Amino acid sequence: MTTVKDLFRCPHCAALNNALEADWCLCTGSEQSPVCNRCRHCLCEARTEVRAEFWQFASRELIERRRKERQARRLFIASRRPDGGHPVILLIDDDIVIHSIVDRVLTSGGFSGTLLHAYDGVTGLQTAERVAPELVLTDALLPALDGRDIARRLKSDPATAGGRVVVMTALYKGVKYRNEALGKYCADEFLEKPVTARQLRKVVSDMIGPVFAADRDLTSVAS
Amino acid sequence: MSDVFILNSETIEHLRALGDDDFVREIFEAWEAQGALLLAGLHAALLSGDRVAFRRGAHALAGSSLNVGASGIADVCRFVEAALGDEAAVPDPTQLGAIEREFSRAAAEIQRTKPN
Repeated sequence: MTTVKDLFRCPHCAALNNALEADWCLCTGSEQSPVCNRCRHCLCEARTEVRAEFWQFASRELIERRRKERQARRLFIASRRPDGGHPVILLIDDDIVIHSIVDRVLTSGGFSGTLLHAYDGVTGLQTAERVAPELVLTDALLPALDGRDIARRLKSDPATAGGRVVVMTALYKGVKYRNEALGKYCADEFLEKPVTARQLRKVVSDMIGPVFAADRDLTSVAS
Repeated sequence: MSDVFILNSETIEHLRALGDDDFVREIFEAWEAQGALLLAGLHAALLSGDRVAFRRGAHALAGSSLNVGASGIADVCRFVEAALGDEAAVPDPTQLGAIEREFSRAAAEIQRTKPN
């Protein structure tokens, strides 16, 4: 039964949500949390003291849900890299500049995996279907096939549905398009361009776990 | 110091923070080369009166330019892109002229900013 303890106010749009009925975010920090039904931002974005207060008074049912979500997340990461191997990320964008920048952002952060490149939607989808990368970063507006359609097709194929898809856009900005990408097109995250190095590293870590040198250092300190 | 209406210094600093001078030079040169190709595409789209191709090219140039902090040309491209959102609209030479002028200004500013 829902109680007032299960209600949370979205840190982004201030809408009131029922945490028991909300979807759960994919953030890989210790604070996986419910997602706002209206704008699809999660409670992880709230200030530390706000999150602490929410969880301090959360119902037993919600605490149990959080435990299950964390467990599912750990199992997902373990299943994708059973031997602790390197993650594969596929970048689909027709802009060659963004390929160089993403490459540099990942390598300068000590990324421990492989970055694959595709420059149009059809090649990107074919590569994703063949390789089943853990994470696909795709531009929304692409030659030959729209990035949002790529997200939907990958998510509807059991062979690739387990991978994460992030749609990036300089055109389809705002809450309406964000909700559409995360809802109708089943993307896991939505980024508005230009994307900073910090944003990019955060979303990669949120999607597929600690893959940067700094993440691994933090993980070893935490454990 | 770059012209704030042409180049966004914050983006340039972000690029510099990611690597050495070679990296920044490589990014700028990739933008210039890609920009030249996109301008050629805009010319072709204008000649054939292809609104969709012209709009798509303007969008691509805007996105690419934002990545290197060339906000002046990005603004012009986005303005043109919005203007061509109407199905009845057709690309016209003044739009291409404005984009080419801003591209030249951005390229000149980038030449000044680019590491030797």
